[in-house]
Formats: sequence, C-alpha cells, structure tokens
Amino acid sequence: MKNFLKGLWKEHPVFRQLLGLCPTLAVTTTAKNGLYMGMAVIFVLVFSCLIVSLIKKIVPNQVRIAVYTVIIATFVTIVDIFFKAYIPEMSKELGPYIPLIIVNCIILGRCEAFASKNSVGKSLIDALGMSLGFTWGLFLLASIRELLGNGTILGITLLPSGYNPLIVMILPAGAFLVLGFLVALMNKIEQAK
Amino acid sequence: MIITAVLTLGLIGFTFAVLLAFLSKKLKVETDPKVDQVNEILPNINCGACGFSGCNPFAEAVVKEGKLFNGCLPGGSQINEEIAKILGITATKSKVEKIVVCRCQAEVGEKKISTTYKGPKTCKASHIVGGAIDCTWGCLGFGDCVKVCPTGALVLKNKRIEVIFDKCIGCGNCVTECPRDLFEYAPFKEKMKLCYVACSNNEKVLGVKAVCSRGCIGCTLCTKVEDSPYEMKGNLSYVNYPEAKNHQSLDAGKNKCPTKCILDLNV
Amino acid sequence: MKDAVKITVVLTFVCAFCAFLLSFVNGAVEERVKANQVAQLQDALNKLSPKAQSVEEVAIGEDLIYKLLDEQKKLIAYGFVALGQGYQDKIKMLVVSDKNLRQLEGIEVLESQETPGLGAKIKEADFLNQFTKKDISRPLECTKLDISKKSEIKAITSATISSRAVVNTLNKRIESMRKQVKSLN
Repeated sequence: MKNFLKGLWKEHPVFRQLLGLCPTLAVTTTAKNGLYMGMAVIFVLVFSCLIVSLIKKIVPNQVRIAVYTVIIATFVTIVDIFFKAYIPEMSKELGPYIPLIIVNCIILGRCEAFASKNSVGKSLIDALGMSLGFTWGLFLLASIRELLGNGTILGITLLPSGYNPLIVMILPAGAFLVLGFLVALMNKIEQAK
Repeated sequence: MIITAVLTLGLIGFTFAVLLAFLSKKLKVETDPKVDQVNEILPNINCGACGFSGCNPFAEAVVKEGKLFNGCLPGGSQINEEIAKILGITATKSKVEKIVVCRCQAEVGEKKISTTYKGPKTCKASHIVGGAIDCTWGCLGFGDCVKVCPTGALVLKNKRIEVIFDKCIGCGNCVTECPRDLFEYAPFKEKMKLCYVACSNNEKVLGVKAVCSRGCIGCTLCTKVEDSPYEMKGNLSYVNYPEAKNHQSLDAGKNKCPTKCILDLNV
Repeated sequence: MKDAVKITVVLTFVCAFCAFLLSFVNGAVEERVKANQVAQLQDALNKLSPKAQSVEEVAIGEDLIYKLLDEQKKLIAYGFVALGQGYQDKIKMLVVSDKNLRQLEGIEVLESQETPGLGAKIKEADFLNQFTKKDISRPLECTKLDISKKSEIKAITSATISSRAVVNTLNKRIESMRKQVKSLN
C-alpha cells in the first residue's frame, strides 16, 4: 500500500522529485491537455515497468539502457498511434510531447531505479502510484493555469466575464511560476508534519 | 510491412548490441567487489543528495575511505546500515573507534522553557535568536541532528536526543550539525563500562539552577573521588577518557553527582 | 564470449519483438487514421460550401484542388489546402473560394499547433468569420487596429503572429492558385 501511496504524495514525481518537468510545463496550458498527457504516461509507465520487471533477470548490464529505451519507445509509439487514430484532436493538441514521453525522466527513472530491482507485483504498484501522482499533479497545475489564464477549467467558464485573464499563465513563464508555488506549498505541508 | 519493420529494427539492435558488447570488453574498468556490493543496494537514481555526483562515485568513496560521509538520503537508514555492514563498521565491531554522546539530556520539565518561540522549527534557526529554551547552552530539541544521522542512531524523545549507541558509527554528522556543539566523541571500549557528563552549561550554580534541574552546577564532587577521571574546565565537568582506568572510578563520580547529570554510556 | 553473445541476442530479440508489435498495432489502425484525415477534409468542405452537390479532385503538380460542383455538374467553387509556417509549427487551412477567385466562401483551420488560449484562437469562429464572403481581388492585410479597409483582417489580441501567419499563407496560396487555375483552363 505504502508502495502505491508514495507516488501520490511523499515521493511525488513532479512536486517532490522534480522529474518530467518538460511535459509538465509544456502541456499544462489546459486541464484537458494535462489530463490526457497523464493518461498517456499511465499507460506507458505501467506497461514499461511491467515488461522491464519481467525480463530484469535476463538483460545483461551493458545493454540495460538500450533495452529499456526500446521497450519504452515501443509503448510510447503505441500510444501515439492510438491517439492519432481514435482521439486525433488531442493528438494535434499535444503534438510532439507524446513522442517525448520516451525521454521523460520519470519513465526511465522508475524502470531503472525500481522495476529493474523489484518483483513484478511491486513494480506494477509503484508504476501505478507514480503515474497517477503525475496525472493529478498535471491536472492541478493545468487547472490553475487555465483558470487564471482563460477563466475556464476543462472548457467550462468558471470566472465572471468581467475577469481580465492573466495571459502570462498560458505562457511558459506562468508555468514555471505556478509550478514553483506548488512545489513550495508541498514542502511547507511536509515540514509542518 | 511487418517483415521490413522486424528486420530493420532487429538489424539496428544487432549492430548496436555487437558494438556495446565489444566496447564493454575494451573499456572495462576493474572494480573493487565491495564497490559493486554497495552499488547493488543503492537506489541508483544519481540524485546527488549525498554530496557526490552520483551513486557510483559515492560507492567508490565510501569503500575507499571506509566511512559513510552523509549517507544515502533517499536510501534511508536501512540502506545506510547495510552499507555500514559491508564496510565492516558497526558499533558492535572493534572497527568503530569512537561514538558520540549528547551532552544535554534534560527533558521538558527538567529544562525550563519560559519563552514562546514561533520561528522555523529547527535548532539552527532558533539558536540564532537565542534559543527556544531558557538554558543558552542546552539542547533545543528540534532534531536537526536526527535528520543528518545516516543510521538513525539519534532519536528525539520529549525534546531530548537519545543516542542509540549500538547504531552509532561515529561519522560525526551530528557533531557538525548541532549549533550548540552538544555532541562529543567518546571512545568505544567494548569491555569497559563508560560514563559521560550530560551537560554543557558552563555557568555557576545559581545560573544553572535557574534554567535546569539536571545541569552540572560545578560542585566538583565528581573530581574528588579516588582515581577520578573527571576534570573541571571552568564550571563544567568532563570525563578524561584516556585517564579512565576502570569503571569503578567513573561510577563513584557518577553517584556523587547531586543533579544526576552523569549518565552511563554503554552497558 | 558468452557475455557478448547474451548481449547481442537479448538486444536483437527485444528490438525485433518490439518492431513486430508496433507494425501489428500500426496495421490495425492504419485505415482509421486515413479515414480520419479524409473525414476532416470532407467536413470542412461541407461546412464552407453547403450548396455543392459533389466534389471532383484534380491534381496539379503536388497539390490537390477540389472542384465543387452543383447538380448539373457545373463548377461553382474551388476548394484548396493552404500550408504555411505559424508561430509554433505549420498551419494547415482549407480555403473555399468562388470559381473566379474573387471572393472567399470561407476558411477552416485543419491543423495548427499555436499556443492554446492565444494563437489557438485562429480556430475560433470569431476570427474565421472575418473570412466569410471576403473580397480577395486584392491581397489581404492583417491589422492590429479596427478594420478601416475592405481588404483588412483584424488580428487576435496577443496573437498577432499567428493571425498574420494565416493571412500571409492565405495570400500566397491564392496567388499560386490563380496560376494553377489558369493552367487548368
């Protein structure tokens, strides 16, 4: 259980480990984008960790990185194909960031640090926890940016029409700002414990 | 279509595999098996929290120097203990030459606290403004030292630091970390029972009594027993460990102390 | 030596297997992806020129021109794709204009990667409606101020570059289209 929960809070991949920041900053312009990116990562991380953990005993040390990368790239390509075929508008929104999941630190990081050294069951749970944590983190960040920068969340207008949107929130600078505040907030909560 | 894909990627994989196999033989670095052992148990995420540039440099340094440095932070005390085992440094083996004692063991109720401190809950921060307890020499009880102990040998209990001597490996992190320099090295002698003076307050009787009921009041009674290894520096008693020949003299001094601030180190 | 063999076998096998898996998945959805693209174009054509009964595709060089015909198979409008560099990446638009290339029926943005909330507004009706029945006898201009001339398009606030990209791409394509239509007739 603790194995699962740590990815959701204590060892949160974005807010505590500061991993996978590239897609975090780039795709969180709208809550919908953040959510779909999160779901893509859940698929990739869970399946990659599963396979890596299954074959960990037969992979020689020297080709570890190459093998893991090929596996991760395969699953990312599957996600890319799937998006293009069944959710083309999201594929266009997220653009190059879906293929970039291959080099997302979280994926290779978890495969290397955990899945390659633990049982299949534990690796699966760890992957689920981490990727779900990533998803809620992205959703939160994206919601804040969309709300302040556009007055909407998931396209639903929540702020009165008189609200003058903070354009900076939609730009990269806004992403860094909100991320910074969220990391600080999480640190504060942890310290107060 | 499928055949092309399989052949293409298969061929690429084959080529790189051959290259890697060749290079790994050519560029092989001979390593100490202990380094490999340590590397195996490290989390291998190369976070750098230990102060080294990665897990491998940390493993190498630890094996080479035979000490844990700051330990592995994400690994936690469990991994640090295992590393200590590999290196052969544990409190119960004779390799450990020294451990630490905390020279303030007053709990809440024994040390007076008549101020309300509202700053950051760390020893370093509260020390800067004069402390969160009345005694300006004693333990502030926020546990900065607990955070840097790699083996979890320090435990915060009721604003007092208890040292679990079995776990201490004498790395000295707490000595550096404590803003009031409360940690002192004591030699570890497996066969002989030792004591230590659990106070760092160098003021005279009235000054000590005003702030704590467990402090050293400088009465010098401990120094006056037969073959006493205790000596005064100002108004504060210290154990001169090289001079301590037997545990009877240590015990005698300990029993004479009116405030019971001399405690056992190991049993 | 045994190590080297193991290394080679493992990596080669992993690569081969992954390639197999991928080409399998790809083959399974290939039809769907193509159908999506065709459907998107069809929808856009229908939206911009509802009076057309049928579409005839003509290939000129590398481009595909869509002749929109009525019940008597007479030409009533042209549909063509315009591609140009936007702020982030290429912008792909479908343009429908009258058969004389004097007035636009309208444009639809098919693909763009502009900044959501800013440049992405080029996909919205507020911006695109400006192109409905627009006079294109003269090249269009993009302005930040309110429109004062017939040939002006008002840019989206804080998305000048994206707006300009649309207008410039449109102008260039209309020019090349005029030449292509001439070669047709």
